[in-house]
Amino acid sequence: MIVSPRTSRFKLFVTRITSLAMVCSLTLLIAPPANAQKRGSSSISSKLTQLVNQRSNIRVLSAFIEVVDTPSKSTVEILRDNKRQAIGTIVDADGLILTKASQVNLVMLKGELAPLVCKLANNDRHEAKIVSINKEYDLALLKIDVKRLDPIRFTLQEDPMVGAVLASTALGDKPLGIGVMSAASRTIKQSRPMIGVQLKDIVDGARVESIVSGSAAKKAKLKIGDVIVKIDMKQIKDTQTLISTIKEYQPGDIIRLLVKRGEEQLELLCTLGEYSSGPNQARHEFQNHLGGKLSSRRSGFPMVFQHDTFLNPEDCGGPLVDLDGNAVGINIARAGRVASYAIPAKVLPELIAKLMLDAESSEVSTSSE
Amino acid sequence: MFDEIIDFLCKHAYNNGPSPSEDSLYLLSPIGQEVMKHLRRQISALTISCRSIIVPGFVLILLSIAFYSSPSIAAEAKSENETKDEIGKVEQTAHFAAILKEGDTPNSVAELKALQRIIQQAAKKIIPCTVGVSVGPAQGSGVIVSEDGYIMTAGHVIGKSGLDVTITFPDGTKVKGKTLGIDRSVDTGLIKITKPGKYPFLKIDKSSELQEGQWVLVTGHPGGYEKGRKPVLRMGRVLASYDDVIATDCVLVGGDSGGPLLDLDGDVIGINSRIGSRVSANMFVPSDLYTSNWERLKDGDVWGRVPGTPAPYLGVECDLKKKAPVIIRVTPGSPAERVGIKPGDIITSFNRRAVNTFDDLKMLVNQHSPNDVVSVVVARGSDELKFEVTLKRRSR
Repeated sequence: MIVSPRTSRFKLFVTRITSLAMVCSLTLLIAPPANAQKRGSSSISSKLTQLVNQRSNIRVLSAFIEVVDTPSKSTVEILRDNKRQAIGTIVDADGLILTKASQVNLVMLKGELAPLVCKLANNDRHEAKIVSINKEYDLALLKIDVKRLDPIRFTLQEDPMVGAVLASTALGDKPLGIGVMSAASRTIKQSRPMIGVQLKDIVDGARVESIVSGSAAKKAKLKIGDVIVKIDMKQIKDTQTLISTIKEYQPGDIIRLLVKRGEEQLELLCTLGEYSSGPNQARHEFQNHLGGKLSSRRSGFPMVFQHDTFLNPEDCGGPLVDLDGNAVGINIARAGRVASYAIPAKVLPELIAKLMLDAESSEVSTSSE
Repeated sequence: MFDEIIDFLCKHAYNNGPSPSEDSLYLLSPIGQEVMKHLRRQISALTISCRSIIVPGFVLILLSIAFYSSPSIAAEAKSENETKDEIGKVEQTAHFAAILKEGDTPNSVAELKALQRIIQQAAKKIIPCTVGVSVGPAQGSGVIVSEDGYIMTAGHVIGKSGLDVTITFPDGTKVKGKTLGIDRSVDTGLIKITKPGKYPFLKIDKSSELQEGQWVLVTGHPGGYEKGRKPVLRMGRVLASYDDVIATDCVLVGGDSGGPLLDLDGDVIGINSRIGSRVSANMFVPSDLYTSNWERLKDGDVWGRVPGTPAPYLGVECDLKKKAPVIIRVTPGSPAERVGIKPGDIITSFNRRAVNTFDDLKMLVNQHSPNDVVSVVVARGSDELKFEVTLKRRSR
C-alpha cells in the first residue's frame, strides 16, 4: 500500500509539500527549534527531476567507461525497421548472437516482416536470421554473416555477491544502465497467461461478453460480440476449450485468433499477457508498472538472478558485466519496477551449446529436404 | 560441467594435454558429452578441409572463455591480493571519503570497486535484520533495531496498535509480534517481537545528517515475502532530505513498505513508505522521527493524520479569556456531548498528554483522525473524571 493508484505524481508532491508545511508549523507550536528548516527550500518535485544527484547520472556512468570498454565490443543492437527491438550478445566470432526471443521473434498476419538487423559496435549493419530458440529461457540465437567478431567473455565465478555493482552494456562508451545484485539466482514460476475476455458459450464457439481494459484482448482489437472460432490450429467449441487452450501458452506468446464478427471472419494476432487476480494483485501490478514498461515475457525462468538496473523491454538480451568487465549474465527480462532478471553465466555455456546444436540440426534437416 | 568443458578446451584446443579418455567424458552431463562430440566433429572436419584459420564459431565461443580463464587462473590468485591492496589504498583517500560521506561520484574503476566492497559488507549485515511483516491480509517489511526485538516499520503497514503480527525472517522462520505506536502524519510505526530472545539488529543513525547525493541502500520484500528469495537489495542516492520525508532513487514497490533505508555503514536512516510514478520518486520516513518519538511509539500511542484527510473534532468551546481550557459550550451531538463532558469542565489531559491551554488541546485533536478513541481527563469541581471519546469527523 505504498501509494494509492490514483495519486498522480503531481498530487503526491503537492501533498508532500503541504504536509511539510504542516509539520513545520506543528514543530513551531510545540517548541520553536533552533533551525526548523535546515536545508534548501527548493521543492521536492524539482529535486526528483534533477539529474545531478541521481545514481545513473552522466558522471557516475562515466566511471564505468573502462569497465564496459571490452564487453561493449561484444554487444549489438537488434533493429527492425530501424527501431531497436533488443540488445544482443555476441557469443561466437563467426556471427552468432544471443538475444531475448520474445523481443525479436514476431509473426505477421499479412505481408512480409521487415528483416532483423544487427548493428555492431563499429556501426556496421548486417541482416540477421533467427537460427534457434530456447523457449524455457526466452533466448534466441541469431546468425549474421560476419567473421572475426569479439565474443563476450563470461566470468567463471559463481553468481555475483549481493551488493556487487553491475553494468549493462550498450554500443556506446558508457553503459546502458548500472545497478547492484539484488537477490541470488532462483526459479521464477510461470505466471498464467491471460487474454482478458469474459465469454459466453453459444452454439458454435465462445462469444466475447466483455473485455478487460489494458488486456491482451484489448490490444489485439478484439470486440464485444466477437465469436472466437479458432486459436492457431485449434478449433474452439466452447469457453472451456478456449480456457484450456490458452493455458498451454506462456505470457508473451503470440496467438492467432480466428474470429467471427457479424458475417465477417477475420484473423487477429494477440500477445498474451500475465494473469492478475483480485484488487490486491491488480494494485501490485499497477505499482509494478509505475516507472516504465515491462517485458511481455517476464516469468517462468528456470534460473535467473535479480538486479536493480533500470531497463526497458528493448534493453534486454545484452551482457550484464561486473567491474572487471566480465559478463556475469544476460539480461532477460524487465520484470517490475524494482526488478530486472538476468540468466546467470553459470548456466549459459550449456544453453548456448544447446542452441548451437539445435541450429545445426535444423539446418541439416532443411538441407536434406 | 562448465569447468570440464574449459578443461577440455584448454587441453585440446591448444594441443598441450592428453586426449580425454571415454571415461572422463562420462563425468559430463549428457549435454556436455554432446558438445564434446560436436567439437570433435568440428575440429576434425576442419582439419580435413584445412581451413584452420577460420576456427568454427563453436570452438571460439567456448574458447573465449577458456582463453580468458586458463592463463589467468594462477594470475587471478595473485591479482586478487593486489586488487584488495589497491581497494584498501583507495579507501584511504580523501576523495573516497567524500564519496562515502558527501555523496561524491566515484570516478575510477578502483573507486567503484572500493564502493562495491563497502556495499557488499553492508548487505551482509542488513539482510539478516530485514523481516517480512504480516498483519491480517496486509504484507509489508520491517527492520529489527534492538536485540530484544523492536521492529521499525511503516505506520500504514500496521494500521492499528495492539494487533497480532507475524514476523518472517529471511530464512523463513516465523515469530509472533504486537503492533505498537503509529504517527500517521509521517507514517512511522513500531512493532515488538513478543517471543523473548536475542535477535540480530541494526543501529539507527541520524537522518538529519544525510547529504543530498549520499549513496544509500534499501531492502525489503517487494510484492510481499517470497519463499526462496532473501530480502531484495537496491542502491541509490539521496535526492532530497527534509525533516519529514526523504526521497532517493532506490526503487520501491508495494510490499517494500516498512523496510529499511540504510547508509553505507548499514545503519537505519529511514523507512520505506511511498512512491510516485517516476522511478526516481521513492519516499522514506526519516529515522529521526522514530528516535524523537520512541517512548510514545513504544507505549502504543497512535496519533497524527494522513496529510490531506479531514480533521476530527471533539465538540467543545473554551473561554478564550482564561488561560486554562475551561469549557463554555459543548456542541450538541458532538463526541464530547455523547460521553457526558459538560460546560464548566476543565480539560487537563488529552490522550495521556497534559493540556494547559486551548491551543494545546486544538493541536492535540488535530493530530488525530476521525474514529480514533482517545482518553480525555477533565476537572469537574474537585473531581477528576476520565472519558473514552471516539473522535468524529465534523459534519458540514
